[in-house]
Amino acid sequence: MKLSEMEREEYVLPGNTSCHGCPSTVALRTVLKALEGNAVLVIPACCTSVYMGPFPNSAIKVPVFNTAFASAAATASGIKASFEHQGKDTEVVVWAGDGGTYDIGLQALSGAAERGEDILFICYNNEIYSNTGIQRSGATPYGAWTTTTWKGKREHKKDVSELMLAHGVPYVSTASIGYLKDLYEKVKRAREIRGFRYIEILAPCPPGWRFPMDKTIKMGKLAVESGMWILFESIEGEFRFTGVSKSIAEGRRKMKDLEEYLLSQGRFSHLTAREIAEIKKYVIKKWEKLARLVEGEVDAVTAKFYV
Amino acid sequence: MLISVRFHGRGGQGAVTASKLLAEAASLEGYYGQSMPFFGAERRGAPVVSFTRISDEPIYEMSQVYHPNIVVVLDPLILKAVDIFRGVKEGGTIVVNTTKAPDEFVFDQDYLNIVSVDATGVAIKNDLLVAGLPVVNTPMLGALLRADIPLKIEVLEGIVRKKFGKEGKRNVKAIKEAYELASIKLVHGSGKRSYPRKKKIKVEFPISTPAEGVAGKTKLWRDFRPEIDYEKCNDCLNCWIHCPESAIRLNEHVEIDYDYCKGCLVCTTVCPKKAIASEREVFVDV
Repeated sequence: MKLSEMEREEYVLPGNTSCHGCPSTVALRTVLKALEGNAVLVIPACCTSVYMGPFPNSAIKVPVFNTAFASAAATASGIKASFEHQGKDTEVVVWAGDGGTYDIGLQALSGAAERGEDILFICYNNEIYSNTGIQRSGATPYGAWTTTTWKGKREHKKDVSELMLAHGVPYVSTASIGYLKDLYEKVKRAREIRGFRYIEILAPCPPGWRFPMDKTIKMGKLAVESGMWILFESIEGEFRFTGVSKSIAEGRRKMKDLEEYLLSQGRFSHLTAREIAEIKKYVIKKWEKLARLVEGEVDAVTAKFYV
Repeated sequence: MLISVRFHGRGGQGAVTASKLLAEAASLEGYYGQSMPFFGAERRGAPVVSFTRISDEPIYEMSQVYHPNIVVVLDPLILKAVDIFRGVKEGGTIVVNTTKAPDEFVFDQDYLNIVSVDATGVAIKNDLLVAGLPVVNTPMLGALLRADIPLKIEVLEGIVRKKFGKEGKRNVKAIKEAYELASIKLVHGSGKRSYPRKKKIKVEFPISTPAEGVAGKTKLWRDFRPEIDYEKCNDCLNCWIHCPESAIRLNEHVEIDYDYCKGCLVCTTVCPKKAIASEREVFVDV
């Protein structure tokens, strides 16, 4: 697909209050373009509920329902039920940060996924609570500085996209702000599928990650190229890597040095060689874990149980 | 027809069971029945409330019963703890386990039917004791049939027999005895019942309308100004799709909207032709 074939209408209007180089606006623009504006957004507390501006105006050109942190997926389930009753085919999209997905919103997310609600849950993951001033979240990676982990976080992140795979929902994918065409196509594909769909977008946050504001897109690319963020897609249980991650998994492309990604961000600048080695270990383990999900390898594993 | 019943009792007397049995009997008779307990910190001896609805149409109301036709009071002493007359409809029925005469009750409604029965006495006589406490729910159900309720005593007896198994015989006997013993009387109250007037509250949902520039002209945020060199530009649209501010417009060519561009310079880094350069912004007009 060419960029010129993308929807031209703007759904995130200029003059909003997002930071310079905000990844969330880029991602939301792309998502709403892919949905051609036929969507209702459900937004729990996050940056988006702030940058859309104060009453009586809104910087987002589709209906938005601002809801409490813990209940985004539940609210969306209700709105979808109402649309079904009215016979409307409008996509109900939850647009939540990692706080509203990984931590506070997790029970509603898990509940909606288990019930198989026909909604699209999108998490834009900047790995911190950036709206409230950069606190650690469940998505913050090992070693990262935040205002609440000022010597670097001591725990690895949890991975909700894997958790969604375990829920067995019909569509799970990850995307990065560095590859908007990929994101656009993933949203289009998710739109075709009925049932609970989950997309997680890596959103490098310039003030939170401590890197220059013009590097947002580059950082999104670098995260994927260095293997720290893995692009994959699972449709009806069929797992595959996509984009650059696919080339890496198939050995057609070498991973960039992890240090290039880590040390270009202020939040990782204090890392010692030992800590970098720890992150590397984690990344490799993650790749091995996901690679086992690709078709063929899984068959070989299950075959042992059903002789 | 919708009959709503509220049961007052103490934990252990079987108010919740009575409420369920009543709903079951109603559905056996061909009505729709619904039963639910009020959930609180219930324990043995604490005041409990339970509700039953009976209707000849499907019941969509799922709330507690606030305006019952019938109130069943399993414990005479509960009168001191709870206002059993609260919300009861005019001409409704109170079925109360008491040794007092019906006239002795004071309430705010104009008139109510009072069914009084010494259910505790019936329970003791029939040996309906659990942990030493008389369980009065089945005798009270017998007395309840005196009220204006379209259930046959045989149906209720059948259900009780099924529910209690070995104990069923004694319970059925208690139902019959309480039914015979109960007396119904129309009693006038003070009529001072004040209906709380519903306040009219005007609710307006704040709905925002989409607009450009919710934060004003964001050009003032700009320290650096991107400039497109149209000689190098090949309209690849990379700057357009990657602009965080939607400040690059698509006209004949890509054009930067300098009213809203915040000067984040993402466009300069994504341009494959390096056709966008940046320079220090100097505002003349501001």
